[in-house]
Amino acid sequence: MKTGFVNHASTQANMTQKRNPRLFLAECIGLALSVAVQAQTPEPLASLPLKVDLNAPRVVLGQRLFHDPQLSDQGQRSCASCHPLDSGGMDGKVRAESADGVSLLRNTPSLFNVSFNYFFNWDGVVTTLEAHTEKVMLNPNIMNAKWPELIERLRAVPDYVDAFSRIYPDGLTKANVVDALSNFERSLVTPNARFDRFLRGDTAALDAEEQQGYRLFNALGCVACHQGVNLGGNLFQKFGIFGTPKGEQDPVDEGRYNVTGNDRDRGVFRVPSLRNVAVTAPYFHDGRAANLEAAVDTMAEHQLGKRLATKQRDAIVKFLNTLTGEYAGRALAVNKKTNP
Amino acid sequence: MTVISWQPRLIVAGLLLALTYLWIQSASPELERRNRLQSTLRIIELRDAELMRDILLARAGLLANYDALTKAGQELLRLSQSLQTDLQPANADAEKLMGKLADQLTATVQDGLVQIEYLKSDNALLRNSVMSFDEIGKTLRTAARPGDTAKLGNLWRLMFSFMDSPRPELAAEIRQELDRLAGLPLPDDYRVLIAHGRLIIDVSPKVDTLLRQIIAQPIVSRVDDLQQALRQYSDSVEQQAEAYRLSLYLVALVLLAYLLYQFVLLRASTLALRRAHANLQQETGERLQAESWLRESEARLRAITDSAHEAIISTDLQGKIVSWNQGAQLMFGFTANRMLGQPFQQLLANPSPDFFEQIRDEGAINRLNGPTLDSIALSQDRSAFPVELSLSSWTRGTERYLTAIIRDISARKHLEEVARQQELQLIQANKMTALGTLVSGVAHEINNPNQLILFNSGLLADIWSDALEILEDRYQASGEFSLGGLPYTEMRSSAAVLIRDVKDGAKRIERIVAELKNYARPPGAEAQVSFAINEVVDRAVRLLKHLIDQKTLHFKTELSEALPLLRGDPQQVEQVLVNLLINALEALPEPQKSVSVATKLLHDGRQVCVEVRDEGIGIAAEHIEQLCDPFFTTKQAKGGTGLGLAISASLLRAQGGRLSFSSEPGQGTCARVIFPLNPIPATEVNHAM
Repeated sequence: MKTGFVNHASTQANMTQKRNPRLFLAECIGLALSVAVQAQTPEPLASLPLKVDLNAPRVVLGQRLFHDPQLSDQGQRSCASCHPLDSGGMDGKVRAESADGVSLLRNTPSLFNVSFNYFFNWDGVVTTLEAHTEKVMLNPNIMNAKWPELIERLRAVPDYVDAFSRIYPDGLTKANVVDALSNFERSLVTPNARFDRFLRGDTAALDAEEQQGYRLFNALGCVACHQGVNLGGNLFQKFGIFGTPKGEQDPVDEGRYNVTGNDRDRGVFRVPSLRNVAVTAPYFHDGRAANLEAAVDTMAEHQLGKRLATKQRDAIVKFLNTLTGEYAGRALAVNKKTNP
Repeated sequence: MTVISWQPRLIVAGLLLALTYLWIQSASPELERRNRLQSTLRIIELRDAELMRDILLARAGLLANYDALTKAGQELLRLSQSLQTDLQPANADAEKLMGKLADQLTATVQDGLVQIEYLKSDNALLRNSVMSFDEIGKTLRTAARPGDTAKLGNLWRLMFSFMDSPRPELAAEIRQELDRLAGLPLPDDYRVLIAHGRLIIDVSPKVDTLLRQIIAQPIVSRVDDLQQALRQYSDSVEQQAEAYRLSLYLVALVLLAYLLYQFVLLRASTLALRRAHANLQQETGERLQAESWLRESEARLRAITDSAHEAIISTDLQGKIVSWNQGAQLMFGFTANRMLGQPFQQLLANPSPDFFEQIRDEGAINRLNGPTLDSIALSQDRSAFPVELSLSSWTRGTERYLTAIIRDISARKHLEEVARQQELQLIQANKMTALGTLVSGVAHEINNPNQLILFNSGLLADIWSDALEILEDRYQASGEFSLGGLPYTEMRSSAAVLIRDVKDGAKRIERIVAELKNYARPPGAEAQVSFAINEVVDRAVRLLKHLIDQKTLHFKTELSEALPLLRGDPQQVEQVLVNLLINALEALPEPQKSVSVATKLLHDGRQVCVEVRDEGIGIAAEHIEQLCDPFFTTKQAKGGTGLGLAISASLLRAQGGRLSFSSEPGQGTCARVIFPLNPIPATEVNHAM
């Protein structure tokens, strides 16, 4: 049905584009509406795929690089330093620890399901995983790597040289390092959350209260922004539509304004994914919400303009707890040891 | 034609290069890239349409989530950016234009995406607020007092109208209503309602504006422009390619024409070549013929050279032998193989060391070319022999050679020796002839007084015998007296002896003169008659019967029967035989020794021989040659004149016969008179006198 529409639309487009763009648009709108009425309205939320198809050797190599501190300037940090995979894919800190200990960074987002995001970083400064990976590696405040030295360090390890030359025709290069890392990051998917099972038709996967939470999540309007496979990660929103949220710290983080320079982007951040949200506390770009209850309250009050009853909030929190998926066959959990 | 003609090759190579260049240029350039660009543009159109659809769906609240929309937008940007990178290395104007258009497209898409993001945000808020407004409104209406319902109902109506067509005046009205509500002491739900209502009227026009702006984004027209530019670019490059194709065709034609021209040339050349080949073949044939002639001629020359008795030897200027003919091999005994390359000097008995140094001088050779020079050569067995050397020089190429023609002149030398001997003999004979003439004259002069002496001596003897009686008487009478200074008694016995000695001496002179006369008597007077040799022998034996009996007790004759008749003078033959018999008899030391005469045929009957054999003292070997010389005698003391055998030989020669002797001293001698059966008539030369 959809394919047919696309073909139809494209032929229509080809036929009509010469005449009048306006007319063409009008027809498009007409078509889209007619099709949308006929089509079953898709669910705003979708389950994660159970399996992702990736190049296994690259993933393995990427995994090795991901855990290798040599990727950072000081040899102190690996990707896994801030994104420990045994603890929700993030460090559990309010803000990420900067390399110099002075710079102010934002809360570390989880790397799980990162490939289903469409914008990266809190301000969406990059839109591809590769660009994001390289950016973080080169960020002086994070890993402070410099390509020539990094490549030099990696070349000194015969295993890397062998592995790269085995997997990539051009061997150990900057692009291939990024590619291997990105491949590994794409493999960080946490399927089989109870909510996903529920979406796939297992109505018993959620209990009554959780299902009530899901209904509230829809009814209250959370789903307006937290939608898609990742329940977020695909649009931007001003933090604080209805009044300024509490706990704002100085200096004021301008968010996406830093990227676009548009006034209306001041205080605008990426809507984060709610996948595994129960194991990725604290919350928000500045980690101001220590727990889900606080985060849900803040969101309801300042984003939806409503105060939630405790019951409502608890239901929603319960629902959010069903979004925790499995990585490497195990449900994600907070690793208390790495999270002081 | 050995020089390679480069020009056609260069021309063909140049044409082929041009063809290759044109072929490469005429291939639709960047067809793949253009197709890729074209398809990218199509996909951009498609994605744009999808994006627009999703935006409209989103605006209509029919899009459940933004994943697809976001993805489409990012895909659109990615495509546009890939188009940009694809068109980045622009060199031609058309490409620059396309690059600019692609930049514009990307910028447009980016603008569009920014607006879409805002739309997404605002739309989410709007939807949320509309939903909340609706929910709270419903809750409030059901729970509200009648007065409030009326107030809310107005707001509801206004909001519904505003949602239907968001006119500014409606917005202002709603805002007034909301402000009014906000001024009233109302529960929290109202505040939420008011907040959402305000948001709706704030955001709704923004969303519509954004939607209009997004729809107004000239992505399609940009794509259209790009397609237009791409088409123009394609057309231009195709035109260019077309021009190249035309050039390709023309160059190919030129190449073909040139090849045809070359082919014609080749054809002509082939014909010429074929003619030349025929000529060459003919020439080769002729040359082969000539060569065979030459070879034949050379073989002939070689045969001539080889057959020559002279040694023909060629050397280079260093004296190394380079040719050696058969004659040389025969003369020197060395084979050609042995001698080639050997120094020439070793052939000479007395080589001068600077022989060839002299010859190298041009003048020397010119001098040498003329006369010949005599030298002594050495053969293989180191025996020297006289040669005559004729040198000549010749040049082949830059090399100069000498050829020596060497003649063995030992035979000639020998002949010269013989001739000199003969000359000496001739001189001797002339002297003899002169002597003979002298002698016959002298003989006559001598004979006359001698006859007087002879006659007078007889008379004197008579006188003496007559006077002796008288003288005896006187002696008797008067005793001894002197006679001629000697006493008569001595004279009486010796005077007769003296007279007889005178007479004997005169007789001897007479005989010598007579024989001299015989020796010198001119021939030709005697008639040539046929005679039987046996009869002549018998007559001679009978003539000497007395002497034979006196000298030997053993005389025998062995006369062969049936001997052919001879022609000649039997008297002279008889004289010769008598001469020989007398010699034989006189050679006998005692009568016991024998003498025999035999006649026989010799040499298959072509010669008749009379053999007189004695057992006498023999003749010394050194005398055999001189037996027939005049005045040679071993019997001077016995009154031999030395003319007997000379006359005999002369007589026999006159009749075509000859005289030969063989002897062993102490054993005997055998003299032979040999007559040929067809005697050649005697010539004047053969007669000494």
